Amino acid sequence: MIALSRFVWAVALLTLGVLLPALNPAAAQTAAAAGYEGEVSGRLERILQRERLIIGVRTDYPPWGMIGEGGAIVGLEPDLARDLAARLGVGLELVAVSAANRLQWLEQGRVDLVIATVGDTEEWRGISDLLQPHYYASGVRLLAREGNLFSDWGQLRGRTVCFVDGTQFNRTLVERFLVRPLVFTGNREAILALQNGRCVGWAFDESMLAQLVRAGEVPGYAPHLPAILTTPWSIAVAKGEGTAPLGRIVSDSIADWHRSGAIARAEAAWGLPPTGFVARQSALWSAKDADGAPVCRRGVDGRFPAECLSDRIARSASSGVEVPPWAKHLGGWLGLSPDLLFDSYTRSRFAGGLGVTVLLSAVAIVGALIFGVAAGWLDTALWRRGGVAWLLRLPLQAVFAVARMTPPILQLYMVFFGLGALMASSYAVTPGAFLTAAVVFSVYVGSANAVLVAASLRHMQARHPQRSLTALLPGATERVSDGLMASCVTIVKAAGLASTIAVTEVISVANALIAEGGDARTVMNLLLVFYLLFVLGAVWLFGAIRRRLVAHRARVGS
Amino acid sequence: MIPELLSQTGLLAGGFVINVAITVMAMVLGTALGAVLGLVRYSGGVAARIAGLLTGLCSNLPSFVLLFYLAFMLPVEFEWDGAFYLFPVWVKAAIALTIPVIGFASDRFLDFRRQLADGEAGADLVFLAAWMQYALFILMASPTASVIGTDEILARANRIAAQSLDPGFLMLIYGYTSLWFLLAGLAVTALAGWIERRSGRSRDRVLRANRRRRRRRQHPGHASQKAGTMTLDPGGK
Repeated sequence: MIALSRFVWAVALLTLGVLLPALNPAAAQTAAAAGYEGEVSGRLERILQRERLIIGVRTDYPPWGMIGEGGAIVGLEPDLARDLAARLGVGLELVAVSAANRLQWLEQGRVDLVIATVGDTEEWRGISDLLQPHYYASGVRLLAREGNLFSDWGQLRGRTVCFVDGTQFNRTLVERFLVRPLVFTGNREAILALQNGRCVGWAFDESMLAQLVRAGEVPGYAPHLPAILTTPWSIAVAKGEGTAPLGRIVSDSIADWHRSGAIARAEAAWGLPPTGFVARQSALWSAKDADGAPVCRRGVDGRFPAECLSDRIARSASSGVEVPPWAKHLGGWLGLSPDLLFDSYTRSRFAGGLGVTVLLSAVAIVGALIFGVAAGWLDTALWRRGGVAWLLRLPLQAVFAVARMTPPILQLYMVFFGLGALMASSYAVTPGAFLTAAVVFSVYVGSANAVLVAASLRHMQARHPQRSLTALLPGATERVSDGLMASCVTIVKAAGLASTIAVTEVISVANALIAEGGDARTVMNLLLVFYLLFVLGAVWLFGAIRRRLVAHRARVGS
Repeated sequence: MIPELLSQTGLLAGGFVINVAITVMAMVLGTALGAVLGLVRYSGGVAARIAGLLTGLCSNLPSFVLLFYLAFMLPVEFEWDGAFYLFPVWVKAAIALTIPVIGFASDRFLDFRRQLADGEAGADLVFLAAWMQYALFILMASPTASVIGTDEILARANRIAAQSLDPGFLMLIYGYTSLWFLLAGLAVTALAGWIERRSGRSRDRVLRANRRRRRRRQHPGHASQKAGTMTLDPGGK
């Protein structure tokens, strides 16, 4: 990280001198003319009144937008933002936005426009006005070990590929190439998982991968496979502003950037490889007709000619899903969006997530009961037996203490990323995420069970000194059945933690759906309702089993 | 490796302060709200049934799910006096962890009130010991706040771990982070155990006195079974 920020700082310093004057061929004139002279209405009026342009940019997407030394936001997109402010002759305020909130803040009016790696997709067009021409385009490539011989995306069929939530191509890759997705919440986790050999590669935005490799963040790894699913990037303004003066000024500025080659220069200055998209746009927008006027210029209707713009846009989430009228009414009444439930892809993923959650809980509950009873028995057997037994009991007690007194999420990380990586380098095998989660939960809750069982056994032993421990075990276990039942419920509640190590249980599915553009309200409410029913169902089931057992023992006893 | 690790102690300690802040806020808020629910349940009537339902809701919703729920549902920022303020993420995490505390506190206050009515002494110490154990459970749950972007100890450990590709270093940094929780856990457990032993002694004393009194009145009394079988176990709840 330190190395990266130094690199970024160096690049930023170099760039400031070279890029800014280059980017601002028109800035000097507008500034000299003391501001913008033209039609003023809508949002633009407010901007000129307050003499400040507020632009949302990213801070987590180097080199597009990041925090530089001293806390200032720097990057290619902030540079574009600076140029726009200069063209309007007003000050500039940069606001950090994320992939999740950028369009929301734009529509709320917190920012005037957003230059934040917004892919021009159907979903986003439904929320805000995405301006054309596009200023950049980026596709997906695969980061994998150097020397891998992948030549075609089709080769990945059936293999495990790492993903990061919130990228528009995840769904398409899974659907089209039938890869097995391992979805992480952050880049760091995806890189660790890749290095541990949990996936053959990490599919991510090509410009970001190029930057990671350049900055030396992932030695031994390189981008593979041709970039596909290229999505053009748009500057976004609030709904309705696209055809207003603000939208027109920004569109004209983007056209200017392409004509003057400013984007290509910025690309080079920030260490990005030259892209065909930028070169093509540059050629398109600087083409002249027989009279020497630009081919791509606004006509009498105020629009750019259709051949200069792109109408091919990507699809990232459920669009074009048939929703029956009753579901629309119900959804409208509840304030939820029912599309998700009628999209077979999301429905099957949600169902898969539910299945994994239930299965993981069941396996871990059995594991925790077995571990608890066995370890509780062993602990009591070694209790007060002298030197050797005392030494043997020590590690057991240590396991109990660590399992019960360290955060379970930390236990998952340690076993999955730490122990998993050590095993990968020593034995070339790594336990899968599901197995890791099942074992960690079994020991975590099993330790609490063991302490309960051991205490109960000791109590029984004191009352029946003549009977063997093994004979006392069933009775001792039954005495603490309340506590054991409570710990089974703990597992059901904790199962969601497995999402942090990319087990595709229901929480990771929910997060992925939201990241792909699904309605957050709907997904989160569905998740909450499922979990409430799941926990209540589990409590009822354990209660029923316990009553059955007690009744059975009473019958056998009499 | 070890000096590198120790040089990060300040950073991790700063993160642990956030974990403690989340825990304190969740426990204080949750206990206050849970106390109200518990006392309403003791009073009986329709209000008691509603309070019972709310308690069940709070106890049966996993905090990890609530964490995501609130992260998405609570606004990113709020408006106050014409200005916009960011909603701190750690507060969202604390609110998510408040909800299970409400369920816990409601049940405990109901027990506590019943024990008081039964004339049992030491009920306050039993309550305190259980409360501390629950606080420990919440402290162990607090690093989950890192998944919604809270800058607490686990998030910082992750950042430090990201600087190196060595799995050994990763284990070391996570192990060192665990040690903070382990020490806090041992300290709280020791304290709660001491309180419980004290409460046991004072309860025995009072129970004996009660028995004598009842025998004198020739009235068959009933000792509470609940307080005696309470388990002190941070993982089991």
